Amino acid sequence: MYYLDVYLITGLLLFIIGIFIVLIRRNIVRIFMGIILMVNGACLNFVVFSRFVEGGSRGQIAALFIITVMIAELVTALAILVNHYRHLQDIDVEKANTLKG
Amino acid sequence: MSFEEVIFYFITGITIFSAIGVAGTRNIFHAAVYLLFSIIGLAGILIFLEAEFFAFAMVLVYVSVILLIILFILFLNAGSSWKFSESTRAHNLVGFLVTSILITVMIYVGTKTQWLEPAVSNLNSSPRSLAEMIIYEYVFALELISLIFLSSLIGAALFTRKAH
Repeated sequence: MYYLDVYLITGLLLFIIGIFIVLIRRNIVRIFMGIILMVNGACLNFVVFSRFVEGGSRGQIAALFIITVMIAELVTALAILVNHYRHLQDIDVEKANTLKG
Repeated sequence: MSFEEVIFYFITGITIFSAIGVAGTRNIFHAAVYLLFSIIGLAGILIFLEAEFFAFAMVLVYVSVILLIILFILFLNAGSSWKFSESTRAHNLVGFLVTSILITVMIYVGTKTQWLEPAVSNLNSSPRSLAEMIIYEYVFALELISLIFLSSLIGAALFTRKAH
């Protein structure tokens, strides 16, 4: 199937919706979901261009690496979330204005 | 439209509308389920792109991620009892402004760029060829990412230790 533009628009929309969630929402868990959507949009672009440009499946490998780094980041962020909750009894990002451990 | 196209647009629609649902719904548990549907739709799109192994890996990884998120929602009781600080009008305005500027810039760039004719590459995306490429060409990146992963795991274990 040769719908390069449809794939690109899909990736763009996923990325935009992710940024929208990150900017508007106040709940940390919801912000994680937005970040996941953004990473998915970027990964989709990598896979699409590895499909439609000569040079084999290097884009898929890049996307695999991206997903791995995203999971590592998510693990760290959830650890920070646990600490934040333990200190403030809340998961509102507006109240996360201190880094005192 | 052929049957294949109908399936393709259906899957794309599921992906986009589930993503909009993640943004729109008030209940965060519903948002997690919407995110799951969006991931499954994206895996379908990846199968249309002949990246089957990547689609399977992605579903595996993200199902565990979404289970983790649902677990966090349940443990933190984030759905019901929290009062979040009011999302002010200024916040919403900035959000809409930034997203609209970004979408305008991207559409401008996408329409102004002189795209080459899409040449369908004869890619071989079997797990074997992917593994050979990783081992022979990207082995340094692989080791680096394992190091990052290990350090992030150790860091998470250190962070979440019971404070004395």
